[in-house]
Amino acid sequence: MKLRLAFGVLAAAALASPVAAQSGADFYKGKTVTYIVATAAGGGYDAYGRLVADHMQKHLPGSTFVVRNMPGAGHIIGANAIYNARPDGLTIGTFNTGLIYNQLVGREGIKFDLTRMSWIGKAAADPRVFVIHSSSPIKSFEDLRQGKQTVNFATSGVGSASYVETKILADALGLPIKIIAGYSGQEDMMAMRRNEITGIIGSRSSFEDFVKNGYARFIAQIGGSEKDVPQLASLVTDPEGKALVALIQSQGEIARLTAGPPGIPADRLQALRAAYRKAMDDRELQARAEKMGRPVEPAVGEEVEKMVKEALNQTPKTVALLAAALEVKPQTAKASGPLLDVQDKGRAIVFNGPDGKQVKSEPSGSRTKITIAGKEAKRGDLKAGMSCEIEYKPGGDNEPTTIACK
Amino acid sequence: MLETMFGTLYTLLSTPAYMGLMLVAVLIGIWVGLTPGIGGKLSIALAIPFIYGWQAIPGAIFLLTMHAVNGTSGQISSIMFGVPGDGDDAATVLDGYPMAKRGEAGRALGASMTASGVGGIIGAIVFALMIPVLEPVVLAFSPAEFFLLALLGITFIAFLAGGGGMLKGIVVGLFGMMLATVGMDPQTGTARFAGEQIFLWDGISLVTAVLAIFAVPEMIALGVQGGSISAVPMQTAKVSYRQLLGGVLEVPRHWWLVIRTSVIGAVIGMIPGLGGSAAAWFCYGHAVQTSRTPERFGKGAVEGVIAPETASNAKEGGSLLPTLFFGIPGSSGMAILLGAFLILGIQPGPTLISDNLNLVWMLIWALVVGNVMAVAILLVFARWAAILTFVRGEFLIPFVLTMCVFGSFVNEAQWQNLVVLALLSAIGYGLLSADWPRAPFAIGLVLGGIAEESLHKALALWGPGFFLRPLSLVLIGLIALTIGWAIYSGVRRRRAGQLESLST
Repeated sequence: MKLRLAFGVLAAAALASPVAAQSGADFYKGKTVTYIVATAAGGGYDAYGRLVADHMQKHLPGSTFVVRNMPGAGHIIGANAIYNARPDGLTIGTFNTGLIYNQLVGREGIKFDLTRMSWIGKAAADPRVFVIHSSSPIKSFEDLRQGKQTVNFATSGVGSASYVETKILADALGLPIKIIAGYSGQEDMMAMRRNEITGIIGSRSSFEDFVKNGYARFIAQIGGSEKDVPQLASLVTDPEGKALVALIQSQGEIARLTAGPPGIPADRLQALRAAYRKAMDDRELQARAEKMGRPVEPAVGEEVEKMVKEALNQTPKTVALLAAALEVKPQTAKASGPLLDVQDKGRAIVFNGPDGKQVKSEPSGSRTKITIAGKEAKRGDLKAGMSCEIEYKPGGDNEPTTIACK
Repeated sequence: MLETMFGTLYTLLSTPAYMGLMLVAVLIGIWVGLTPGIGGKLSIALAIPFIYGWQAIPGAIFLLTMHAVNGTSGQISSIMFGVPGDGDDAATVLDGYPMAKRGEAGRALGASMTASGVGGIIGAIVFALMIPVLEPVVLAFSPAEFFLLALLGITFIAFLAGGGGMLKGIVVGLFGMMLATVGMDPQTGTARFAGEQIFLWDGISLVTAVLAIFAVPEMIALGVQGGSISAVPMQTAKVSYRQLLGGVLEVPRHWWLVIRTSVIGAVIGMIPGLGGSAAAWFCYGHAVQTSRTPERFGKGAVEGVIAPETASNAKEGGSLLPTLFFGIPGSSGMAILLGAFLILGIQPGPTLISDNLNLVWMLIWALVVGNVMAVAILLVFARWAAILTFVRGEFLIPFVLTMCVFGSFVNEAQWQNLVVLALLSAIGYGLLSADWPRAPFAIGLVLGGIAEESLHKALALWGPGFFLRPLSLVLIGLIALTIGWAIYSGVRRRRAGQLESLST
């Protein structure tokens, strides 16, 4: 991790021309930056957010950082607000990395595209652990997998990141788990103490003390550098399961992120990233974080952007598993290639779908956006053999939303 | 044990630095409580950067005191203008504001502040007494019991309607429960009755709903009628320390109610997951249900002020228990306090009682002393505050409505809440002018959500037979008794009414 940070710093330093960074930093003299935290005051996101905002202010001379809490809809309200803010570099913020799952399956309510955001940095890594009640006979991951009886696992509300992770792991790895959803905050620990539930898949830092107090044990871990718990990746053999474990691991690595809306001018973004890096290297920030029991494992700028893009680049199979966990249909599918057939003046077209099977699709006269060689066109203009990029809603008449032909 | 107990009290009282810190904390706590929409949680979150490097004991008593006295000042605006500062204070509006309308703001303030203080102190005593039996008691309450407790609270609606209006009460209560279903469906994770509005995913904001149903309609009514909040002129009402003292003395007069609601409040606070607002509403319902004259409630009964106020301060002591000894916060405010304790080097957990008994007693005494300080300061100040209820409406209404808008907005920083405020205000004014009860609405909204969520969990855990656990059966018995009592007293009252009409 240290190495990777050093690399990130070097890369950022090499890319940032000193002149641009200076003009960016000048811009912030006397300016107020709003730092949006997508939860209510208190709790981890707020703590990290205020820590980052305080120290970015310190390293961006003349600036004032104001923290604004925008809770609601499982971080979606805050993330939407950050994404749709004016890209002048004066609004940035933090939200749950779990929104990657929401974007992957195109869940309703999201008005952001994580791949296009201006990534400033991430402050921590948050490896996930399987936590098992100390009185349970399950002593290892193998015990859990081989178990004859279903055991209860607690998660937050249906659709939350903790629910999604528990559900996809249980489905893909064939674990005998029954999910009891709806435990918010630390109610899941209470439920485990009451012996209502046997297990939780949660972030290691939250459960460290709980385990030390003797209430539970860790049986497997996803990501992180600790050596006392076996890595789940080493216990899973089939490729599908491995892909999901990797996805969750990448989630855990990009914890406590800071991002801004797409299109922040390059010099300002550079100044923000430089300030973020200095803040993370600041001894004072590290000391404060340690006192709060909040580990710091930072990465800056383009490195985070790359991690996010990788996490969002998943096979259709993984997306399908996620969609099943979230109980939503993927909103659109994409296909590209030649139109195999055009019938009834473009009222029906046939092309090869993403899985190679033929798809018959009925373009709408009003809703479907059609372009030919970059110019707007009507469905009657479509001809068999044209090479097109098609985005459509799977199911029913497979209505396309956009058709772009050469 | 006794030595530590009184030794720490002596240390606390004889160290000027501690007392000075507590005074500052009490003043900040009072100020935060006075400002609508800003809760104790925010004040702790904002204080965290300042406590780095503090020693454990002064830091902990500072934060705890600041949080604990919040409820003591929150009721001032509830009583005087019908504007609750927080969900916890909302129950106080029901009888506090009618008292102000009768020119008894001083009496109501005296009673509610003293009740808060006494509730806080009893909460601290419950805290101390419960330490040995904490584990079995807290672990006895599971989602099945949460569901039945919420249901028991909902049955109190039958008494809240007063007189012959039980049907009206049930209709309004169902309306509140209906609004509680807006938001994420806990079972499917899909948005329910939220339209395209994602701000509704978290449900209707409790503060906004309560402001709309109680405060705004009262201000409209005041504007329509003219005059001041107090219907009685100032000379006749005699706003004096004597009236205030009269209010203070109401608390010892209702000592049995005070003890019961304090203990209930502390126990509800102890159980993580039930929520702070539930304590005040539950105890209000309890006061009505056990009263010989339930029809006085909602029209300015002093018990209706005492019950929720004792509960909301007593729950602080209760919710500190699981926070300190399990490391599991009893409320969202305590969750933030827990984070702050970690910064101070206090490691919550079962070993705290053996490792750091000193600190535990210091916190208990801080609760007691902080509550006494807050009550003393507020009682001095209350006489002048009460005079505001005699100001002419046209000067007051704009300020109060601004407070409502501010309170509704600042909580979640969503402008859409102002639309909800306007819509529900219209319904609230309709209820007020038709003389329908409004308390069942809040109970339905607060407890309806808890009931639904816990029912889902209980069913998932144990299936339809979840209510066969022993504690559940006790609660079911209580629910049956409550309903039976409601029907019996309803019939008796109707008979009495018939006899009266025969004899005239």
